[in-house]
Parts: sequence; C-alpha cells; structure tokens
Amino acid sequence: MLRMQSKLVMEVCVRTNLPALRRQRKLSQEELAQAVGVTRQTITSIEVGKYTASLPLAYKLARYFGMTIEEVFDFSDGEG
Amino acid sequence: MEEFAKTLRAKQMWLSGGMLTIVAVAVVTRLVVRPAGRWADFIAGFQVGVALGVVGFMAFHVVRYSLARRDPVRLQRLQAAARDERTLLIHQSAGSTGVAVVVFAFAGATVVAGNFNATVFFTLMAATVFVGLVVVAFKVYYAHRY
Repeated sequence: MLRMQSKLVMEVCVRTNLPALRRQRKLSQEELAQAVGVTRQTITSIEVGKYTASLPLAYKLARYFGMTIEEVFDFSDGEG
Repeated sequence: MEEFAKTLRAKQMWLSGGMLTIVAVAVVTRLVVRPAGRWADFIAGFQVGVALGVVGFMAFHVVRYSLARRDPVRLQRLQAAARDERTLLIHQSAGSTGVAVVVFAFAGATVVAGNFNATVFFTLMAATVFVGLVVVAFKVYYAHRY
C-alpha cells in the first residue's frame, strides 16, 4: 500500500496552477497551508511537483478556491 | 481542534508517566544492579546517558504540548504538522526503508559474527529473527486492514 502510494507519488506527475491561484488571491503558502490544514512545506512540494496531493487534500484545495479538482490540478500527464 | 487538544493532554500524561517510570527504574537499577567488569564505567555511563536522553526528549514534548494547549495558534500549527499527509508519508517511507536496511544489516552482521563469537552470533540472530517477525506480523495486519 505504502510502496504503491510512494510509487504513485513519484510516477504520476500532476501539474497544478496553485501558484497562480494564490497570486490572484494574494495568499502566501503559509496562509493556504493553514486554511487546508497542512504544512507550508507540503504546499511548496505540491507546487513544484515533488508531491502529489491526496484526493481529500486536492478536494480541500479545490473547494477553498471555489473550483473543481480538475480546474486546480492537471492530470493529463498521468492519463494512459 | 478541541479533540486534538485532548489528544495532546493524553500524550502529556503518558509522557509524564513514562518519565517518572524511567527515572524510577534508573535509580532502582543503579542501587540494586551495578555493571561489573572491565566495561562497567562505560556501560553505566551509557545507561545513564540513554535514560537522560529519553527523559529529555519526553520533557521537551511535554513542554511543547503544554504551550500548544494554551495558545490556539501554536495548537493549530502543531495539529497541521501532526496530521500533514506529506509528513506522514515521509515517516512511513523512512520507517519501512529503515527497517528493511536494519534487517539486512543484522543478517550480514550475524553471518560475520558467527566466525568470531557465539554469544554475539546468537544475540544478533535473535534480533534479526525478531525484527523479521515484527515486519511480517505488521505486513499481515495491514494487508487485512486495507
């Protein structure tokens, strides 16, 4: 389970427009992290593509910006 | 948030109990059993060092949790850090990789020790088997859980 999860995290490259969304709303990484209940480092890792957010976190982030998950994250690279 | 504060309180109590137990065990063992032989001083020093280190670590967390329970901002930060999914993934990955490395290192050390000392050989063998069994037990447990 964990190995599979780690592998998925490494293999699935999910692009995100979180930085742009944050800039639009003049939000810092720290503020966004606090709003969705994670650390600033997690937001940084998601933004640079080092870490893929879990479905609940992706949902929280999307809901925070009033968007759908697909509008915040681009999964097109992971589609077969 | 209140739920997390309660969890911290419970952790604080466990840690405080653990600190008292360690101090009591350390004092009693120092009074009753004293290491003897060539390495007695080193062993005694190591025992005291480990006890102090563990108690210090526990005391640090007791203070940290106590401060967090009094300050909502600290509490929120601590909660985010404790439940952060990336941090949990890092801990899980480091733990499973670390245990795998330890098992292989112990197995190698057991083979080498067999050529020199039977006591060390059997001690390492027991440790290797124990760690291996623990890993297998957890794998079976989590395979049924998920």
